[in-house]
Amino acid sequence: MSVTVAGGLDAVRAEPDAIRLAGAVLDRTAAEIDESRAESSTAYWALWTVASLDAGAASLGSAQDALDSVQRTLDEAADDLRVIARRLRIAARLYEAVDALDGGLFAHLGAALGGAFGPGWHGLTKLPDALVTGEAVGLATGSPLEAVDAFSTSDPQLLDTILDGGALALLASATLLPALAGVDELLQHYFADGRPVVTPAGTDTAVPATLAPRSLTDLVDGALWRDAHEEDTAGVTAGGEIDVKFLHHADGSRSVIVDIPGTKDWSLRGFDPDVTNLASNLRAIQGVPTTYERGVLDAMQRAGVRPDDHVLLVGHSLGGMVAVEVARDAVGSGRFRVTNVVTAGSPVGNTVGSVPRSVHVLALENAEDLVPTLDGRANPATRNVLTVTADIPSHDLGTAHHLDNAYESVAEAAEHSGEPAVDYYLAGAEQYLDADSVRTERYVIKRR
Amino acid sequence: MTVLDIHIFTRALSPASTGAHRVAMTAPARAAAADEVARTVARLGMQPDLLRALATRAAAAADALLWRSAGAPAFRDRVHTDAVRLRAAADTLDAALDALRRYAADLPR
Repeated sequence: MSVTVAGGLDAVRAEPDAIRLAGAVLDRTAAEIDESRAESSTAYWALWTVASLDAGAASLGSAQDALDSVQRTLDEAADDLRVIARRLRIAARLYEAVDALDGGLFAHLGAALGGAFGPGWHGLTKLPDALVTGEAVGLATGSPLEAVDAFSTSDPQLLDTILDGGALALLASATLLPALAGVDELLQHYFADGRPVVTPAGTDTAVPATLAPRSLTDLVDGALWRDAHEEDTAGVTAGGEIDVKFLHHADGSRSVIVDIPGTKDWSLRGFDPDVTNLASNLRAIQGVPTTYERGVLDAMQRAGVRPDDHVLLVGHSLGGMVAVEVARDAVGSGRFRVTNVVTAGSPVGNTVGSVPRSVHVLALENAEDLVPTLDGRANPATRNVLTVTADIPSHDLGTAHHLDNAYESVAEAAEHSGEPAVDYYLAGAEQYLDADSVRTERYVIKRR
Repeated sequence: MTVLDIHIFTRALSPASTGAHRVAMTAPARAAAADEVARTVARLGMQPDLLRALATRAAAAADALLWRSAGAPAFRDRVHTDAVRLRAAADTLDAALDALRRYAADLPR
């Protein structure tokens, strides 16, 4: 296949097949260099044996030194060729993705960015090369945060441009989020949201799913368990699996926790059966109802959650945004009685203010995590919205956003902070932290 | 007697054998050393040419690629730098092989 990428992409011309072929050649070359390196290594040790017999032989010593130097050189060359090959593969995928996109998408984004940041905006035209140079893009790695890290080290000028424009979101989404000003049209014409298909995936009998939470950290761990075991337990493609946990108390009462994982699919596909995708992010960050949200509500109903059950929603990243939507709409309609929400690393600044005052929201944020800032707005500091930010040292932006690397620590720091507001929140959530037993039901939500 | 046996034997006889002084080797030790060096030369004999061929192939792949983007020249430069490295490694290997051949030729018969 051959594509030409032009216009808004700064007249870049690329042939993905040729790029991919060059990558394969370089990979094969690296493998053959490895074999040569192994030969020189074997020879080095053979000479070592001879040299130990004849220690004074200068020619042996010089041959050994030479082989030592050759091995280092071959290692470096093979490693470098592999890195280049990887970049080439990423580049090929990127160009093919661009080719597969609706022809007007980038023009649309260009206009939106121009409108948002003025005619001096050049970020988009530089973007493809920056993605390649950064060797990490959401399309290829599944993690736009890796792309952000790569940008920040490989193209400081682009980073400055984007930071000056206030469009951190562009970096974090690798493509689209900064175009919020024009995103409605984009969502309508390109990223159709479809409707949810909810499938029961059975009771989770694994030990972590049967343990009653006793702390805020346990609540985050519960979300982590579902997030980390979606694929294994669903037996289908990852993304869209949630937990509905029934907590049974000594007095015979019960309450419910719903774990809502975050994004699993950052692809630019226009239609995507995975509800944890870019389209859901683009909607949820604006507070537009999503298929993911409707799926969560359907799953709660199918699980048998009653309108008078007290419900706590725990969401990570996109899951937190969806949790806020669910709380807003479920309580507003009287369908479910959501009393508490815990979000971890979620950009809810635009939306959390719409949650009814009867719902108490605890937003956990890592100061080193970029994602909660994507909405460009701080969370409102109201009586029912508490934001706790901790600075968890993270070696890159990806780990700064992870539940296990970062948000378990944020939760732990919060509950041991002694802050009255946190203590008050946890006291109000006590019914979710003192259960005798737990039954965890899994549901898979897909988009149709 | 293997090379390793000879090594242990000579170490036991003469502590100087592990130092900077070249010690007189026994005839079996000379033969073992000559064999080992011959095997090493044979093993490495084709490697310099192979590395030069790999360097040429990588550079050709980079040059043949149709990819007009701001990053493409830097990409090609980098592959060519690796090709230069590989050729340098080949030259170094050639020098090592020459040294080994000299050593084998100089072994007391």
